[in-house]
Amino acid sequence: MKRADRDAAFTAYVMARETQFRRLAFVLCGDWHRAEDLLQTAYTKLYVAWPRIQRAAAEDAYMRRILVRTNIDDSRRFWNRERPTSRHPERPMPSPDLEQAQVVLSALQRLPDMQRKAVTLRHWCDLSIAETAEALGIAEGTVKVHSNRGLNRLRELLSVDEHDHENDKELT
Amino acid sequence: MTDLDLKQALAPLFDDEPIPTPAARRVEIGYPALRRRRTTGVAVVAAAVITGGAAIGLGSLPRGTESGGFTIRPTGKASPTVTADVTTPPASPLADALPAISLAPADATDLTERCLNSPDVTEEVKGSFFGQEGAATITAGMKTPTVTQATYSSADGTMWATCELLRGAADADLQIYTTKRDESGGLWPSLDPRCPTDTTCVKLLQLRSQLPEKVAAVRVEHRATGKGVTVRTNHGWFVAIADTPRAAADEYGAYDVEYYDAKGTTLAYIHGEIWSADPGDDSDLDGIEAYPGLDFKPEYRLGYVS
Repeated sequence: MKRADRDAAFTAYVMARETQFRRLAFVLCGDWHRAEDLLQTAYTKLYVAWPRIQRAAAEDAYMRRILVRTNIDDSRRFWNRERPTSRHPERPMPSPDLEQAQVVLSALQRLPDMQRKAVTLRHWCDLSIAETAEALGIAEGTVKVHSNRGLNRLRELLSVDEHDHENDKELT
Repeated sequence: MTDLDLKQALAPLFDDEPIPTPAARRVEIGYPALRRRRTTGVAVVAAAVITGGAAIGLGSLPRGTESGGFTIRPTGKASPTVTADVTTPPASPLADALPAISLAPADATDLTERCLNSPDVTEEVKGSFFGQEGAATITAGMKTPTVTQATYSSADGTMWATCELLRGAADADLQIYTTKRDESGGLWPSLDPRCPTDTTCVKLLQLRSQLPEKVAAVRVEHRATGKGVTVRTNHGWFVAIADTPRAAADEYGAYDVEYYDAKGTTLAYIHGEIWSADPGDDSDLDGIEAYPGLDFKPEYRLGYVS
């Protein structure tokens, strides 16, 4: 494949999928800057493997696989135990919807790695169990376990956050 | 919570998302990575020819320099480290090989106990693997300053598992696989970014799997420093971990993997690269089926078990 052909096909693909995969990266890692790094890593790997991946018509699956697996390992870094926040103290007060969305995103980031990936792929990307299993490299039964546990844990975390929020309001 | 809840709840986060990087810029960044891989691959093929002539042509190299990021030198070739000094026979590459199980008994016991208490695996799966008596056999294992890792075989041989414990971590990470399904591939290289908090932080180049019986030993080596380890296999099972120097986030990890028979003859040789920022991605290194000289059989591919 000539470079010009390769670049044209790759560019068209990136333009078509940019929003979708950038948002997935963001939901997976909870931070736009890290999401951008993650996405660039994935795109670079996709570019290197482009002829093989394109021949197999497996671009989307390959991208998802890189994104979730890179994020899985990246999120294990020790420094990452400190949870960054996207809120700046001088920013205007967020709307209630945005504030609630940040609470949900924060709770999602607190799930164990595989639970977060399984919940995101299944319940945010709407992937099937088989597709989720392929992306994560695990068996379908394991996807069900991680997904169910992740949802249950997410409910617990949101319930605690809501309770804390109500207590804060009473104190003020 | 339903699917709709999660999607609706997160939707406001995308109202003011940052401006995306232009697609053309993605290509600009990707091209040097492709060029580096091609350059590296060509260099290694040339080296293989110089050290004795390749038994197969470029056309039969699985996933050649175009996309695979690695090259393979097939059976029957001398190690590339062998010199031309005919008066002093080269030392066998197996001379310093660690046994397949080099864990001290106390370390093995500790690791197994932590595996049994792993929080991310269901009791049913643990029970079916370890049984009531914890009856699983360690088939290979080693310990480095950074990590302790072992492979296990279930009592009935239908499952195998890897368990690893990072230094300072409370929980071990247990992954159980079936030996019957064909999902994950037989070779799982990983250049792991997990680091201790001190300044001696290293990355782990690790491989664990079961290989054909004719593979008596495996060597993994970080090319830049020559640091590596040679381990013997136990009926094909092996764990090989090399602590390698820390790399920048966007660097490649360049490594060599060599497979020996019982006489120390190289059966196959891989020159590979793994993104330091993208560990655990087995797409860069083909499974054992890619080794022309190892008589790959489908049963060597091992899969997850739920």
